[in-house]
Amino acid sequence: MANQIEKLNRMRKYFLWGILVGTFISLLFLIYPTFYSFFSHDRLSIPIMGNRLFDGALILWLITILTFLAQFCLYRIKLRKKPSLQTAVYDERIKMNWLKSYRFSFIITVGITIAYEIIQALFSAELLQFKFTLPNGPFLVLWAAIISLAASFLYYNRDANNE
Amino acid sequence: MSDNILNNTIKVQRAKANLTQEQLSILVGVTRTTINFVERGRWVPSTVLALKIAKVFNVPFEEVFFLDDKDPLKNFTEGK
Repeated sequence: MANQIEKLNRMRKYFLWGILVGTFISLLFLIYPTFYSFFSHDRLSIPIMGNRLFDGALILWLITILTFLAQFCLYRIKLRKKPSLQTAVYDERIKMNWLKSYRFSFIITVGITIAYEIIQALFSAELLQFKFTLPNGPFLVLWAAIISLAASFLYYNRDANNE
Repeated sequence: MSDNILNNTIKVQRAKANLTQEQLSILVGVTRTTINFVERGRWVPSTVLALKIAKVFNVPFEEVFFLDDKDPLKNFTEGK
């Protein structure tokens, strides 16, 4: 059992590193053409290189996701065989760390959505003329995030009857 | 209130019982890293985990876990 807990712990660490590195590199490939074209004088050569990078990024990301899913399924199968292993691998500190990670991820998501909307608004002719359009995807994400955050906190923090 | 007011003697108790962190982690059902964090005072365990650890060493809870003297609650109750 000793080796199994540590083995599964290591397995989790490796597949999380895998998805982190794979997604990060594919993101760099995706945003590179945008930045390159922004700072470059030779804009004619960008689309071809940009397309190749874009395709490469998507293929890399697909491979990363598929590898992650395969490893995750294997990991879950191993955990299901022994419930005691699941309790040990997902102990109280690990659960708390996941909650902290979700919180961090939530803040980043909301922050990027707000930044994106501000940048969009700065270049929006309609907004400058006070002609508001229907809310778009990022706006809806932002609203959903705020509503779900407030609602879930109120639910989990609800008061028990005072007896 | 400070986050790090729960001291412990896990390292001493482990040495007495001749247990490694990994062995202790199996006995209480957590990862070795968690035992390491608790031992170094970087993670305050739940009551259940703390009781499990004390039970493994077969000693009273207070011998393994105790509050720091700098605990503001202690000073408050003693009227300092």
